[in-house]
Amino acid sequence: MSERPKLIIVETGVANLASVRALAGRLGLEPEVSADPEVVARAPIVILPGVGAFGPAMEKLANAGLDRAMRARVGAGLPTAGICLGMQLFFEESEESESVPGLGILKGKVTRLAGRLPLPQLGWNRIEPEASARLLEPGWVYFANSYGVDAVNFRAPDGSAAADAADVTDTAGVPGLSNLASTRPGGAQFSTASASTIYGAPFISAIEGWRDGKPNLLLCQFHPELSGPFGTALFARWLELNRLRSLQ
Amino acid sequence: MSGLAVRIIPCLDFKDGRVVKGIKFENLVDSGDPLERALVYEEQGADELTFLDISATVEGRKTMAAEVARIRLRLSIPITVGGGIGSIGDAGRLLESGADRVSVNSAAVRNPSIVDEIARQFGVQCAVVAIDAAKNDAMPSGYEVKIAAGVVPTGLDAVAWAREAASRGAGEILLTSIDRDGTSLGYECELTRRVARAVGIPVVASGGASKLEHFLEGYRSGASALLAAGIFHRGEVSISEIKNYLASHNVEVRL
Repeated sequence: MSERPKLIIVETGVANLASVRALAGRLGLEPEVSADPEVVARAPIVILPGVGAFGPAMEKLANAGLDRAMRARVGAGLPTAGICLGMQLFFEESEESESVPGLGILKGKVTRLAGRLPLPQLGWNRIEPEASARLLEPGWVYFANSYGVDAVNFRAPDGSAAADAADVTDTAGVPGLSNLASTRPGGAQFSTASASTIYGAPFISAIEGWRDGKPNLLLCQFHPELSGPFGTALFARWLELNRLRSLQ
Repeated sequence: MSGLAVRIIPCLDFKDGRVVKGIKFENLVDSGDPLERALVYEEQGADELTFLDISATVEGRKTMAAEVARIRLRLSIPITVGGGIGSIGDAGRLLESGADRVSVNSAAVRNPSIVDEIARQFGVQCAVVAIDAAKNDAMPSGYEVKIAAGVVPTGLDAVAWAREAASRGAGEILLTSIDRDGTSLGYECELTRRVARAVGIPVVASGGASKLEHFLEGYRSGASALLAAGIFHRGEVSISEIKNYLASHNVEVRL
């Protein structure tokens, strides 16, 4: 039996990972849950899943040294995905837990969804990628969120922010990460494209981040693992564009 | 405006690992293998599935968790599981098996703090409170909560209980009209309207839908999602027929 490539799911302390594991299976990957910073920093593919609240999840990551591991791997351009809360954690802060800083890999603040519609937003809504998106496609996806990144608030890191993305590569004190740090592409081109969704007001529902011709970063406010064939296809394309899966 | 689609949710009642459907919570009829059913409904455009475990035994519950795990591997839409969840441990086991949300009913009435606990430990989006309500003019809203499969009156007002559940951290109310369940008479829209107006969380209407118009009425009464069982199991109305009908009335659906 040939060994299937591993997909590392970052342990954030909540049990409900069965759907993400099932997604890995559909992609032909072997899911493995890990809270080991070295594993998370270096693994070929990592997903930061998202259930629970911003503050406790971020504290859990920080206590295990996983915050620096996440910054290191993104700084090194390794394929990394965040789902739902896992996307929100990439930002600087959240209204959900004001006193706890996020990973700060992307600029911006997570806020409670505006308007008088029922919260959480629970169900299927459309994502509309901006014209420059090369990975994200328009379609119906499944959401379960009360917070999100305001479309007005989001500052897309273009040329000037490339340095920001590199700056967060902080590996000090994480054992075994010095090699990774040296591969960090300093001023390499880092560009993003986003998709937005309307629930009362528009919010950022997905972000693709490109470096060296690959979309190393894929953040989804929705749940690709629960979004039917559309979600599976998005992740399959992501793996293909990262040369981690051959086109079928 | 909301771009969110109204959800169509087939509900599968499980007894000892098999799908059954009761009429007014009695007279159970076996209607098939759960995985097969689940995949057919996903293919037909179901927006999520709800499983209700009506097994009365510990063995039956174990079978349920195993079935959820088996179905999870193949199904790529959300699953809510309810029925007989009496503790945070029960909820955790089902979530670990592959449920995305759990619904609590009788246990929440007996011990409301279970709602807070599920919300705190697993997130509000995981915490569904199922309310079975029947008409009772003695209640302020005109509807009373019943528990233990809809047979034991509680003296609780349905709207007041829904409001309390929401304030304790429920992320959704699954609202079943006992009077309408299995009758084919359509949703109890007055009940749905009153509860949906009282809470700031999504409400799933359940009980009585048998015709296309019933789904439109349910939507117009304020439901975020529309649940049905028998009509899907018996193949009387397809999910795509319902969605096309709703779309023709300018209701947002996922087609």
